[in-house]
Amino acid sequence: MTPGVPRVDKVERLYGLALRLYPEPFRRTYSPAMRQAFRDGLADTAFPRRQMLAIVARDLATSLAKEHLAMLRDTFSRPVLVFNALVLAALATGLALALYSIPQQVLRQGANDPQIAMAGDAAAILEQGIAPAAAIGAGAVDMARSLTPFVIVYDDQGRPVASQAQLNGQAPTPPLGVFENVRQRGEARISWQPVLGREHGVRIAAVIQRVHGPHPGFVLAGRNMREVEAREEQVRRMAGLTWIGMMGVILLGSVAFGWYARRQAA
Amino acid sequence: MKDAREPGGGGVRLGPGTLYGSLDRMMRDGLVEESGLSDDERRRYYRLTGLGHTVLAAELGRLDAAVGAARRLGLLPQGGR
Repeated sequence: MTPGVPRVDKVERLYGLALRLYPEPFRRTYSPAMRQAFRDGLADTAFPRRQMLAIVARDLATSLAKEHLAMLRDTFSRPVLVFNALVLAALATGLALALYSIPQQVLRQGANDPQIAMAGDAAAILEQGIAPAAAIGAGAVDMARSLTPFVIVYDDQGRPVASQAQLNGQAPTPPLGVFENVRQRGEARISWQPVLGREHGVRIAAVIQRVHGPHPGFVLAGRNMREVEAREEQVRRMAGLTWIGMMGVILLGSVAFGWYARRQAA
Repeated sequence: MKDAREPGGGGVRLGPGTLYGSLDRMMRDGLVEESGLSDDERRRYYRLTGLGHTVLAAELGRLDAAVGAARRLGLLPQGGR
């Protein structure tokens, strides 16, 4: 026995262990031949062993990565798997959108509830010929801060004539197009962002109704949407987290199924 | 591995993993096939298919054209033929 033989055996055994890191089908097909090529390289006295081992070490690192990537590509680019994953992803996306949009609409429509009654009551009183200031009473609701519902009465040209609320000390007026719409339809329910001075961030859930009678005009009942929008944001986050969770489950399920199907086929 | 490192073998550092990975892909693409001459699974022999010959000829033609162009432009290093 030459002094070098045990070392060769050890190196070859190590290479044999390293071959186990290759994907199973590749390993099963080529492992004996690769091992023989390695053995031939070791036995070739004209090929410096250190150089040969350096080449094999680099080759192991690169070809392991390449073969595993090729296996993953083959496994997960199969049309059936991709199609199933895409269908499930589309369903999950639709479900998450529904989880957001349905509660969002319920919350937004619910934000109009007191205003609908307030606008209707105020319009009924105004149509009896009672003066606007007397009909809605005095009030000093700060639209930017308060969540208290309020009423503003406008004349037939859309100018404010009585108001329970102010923004920067004035009663704001919706765009004239809103009044034209109400003139034709009788009522409008809108999300209104009044712009007065520097104030741009206030959003109001507003219900506007037409007032007939001796002093025709419009009555607007509104309420700051801050709290409703905070709840809508919560719903959006929960729907987003649900979507991410469903996508994760679909991804993991597809990976597990691809892996299992590959093992079955191997 | 040693032959591949020689200039005549392409001068590449080719280990068993890269070699058999490349052969696997070339077989899948129909460029080479097992010759069936070996009776030992540790030694496998491969040969070019008809398509492999065609692709090889095209590739050699491409390289030849590139070398010709380099020669015409005087880009070949000294000693290049």
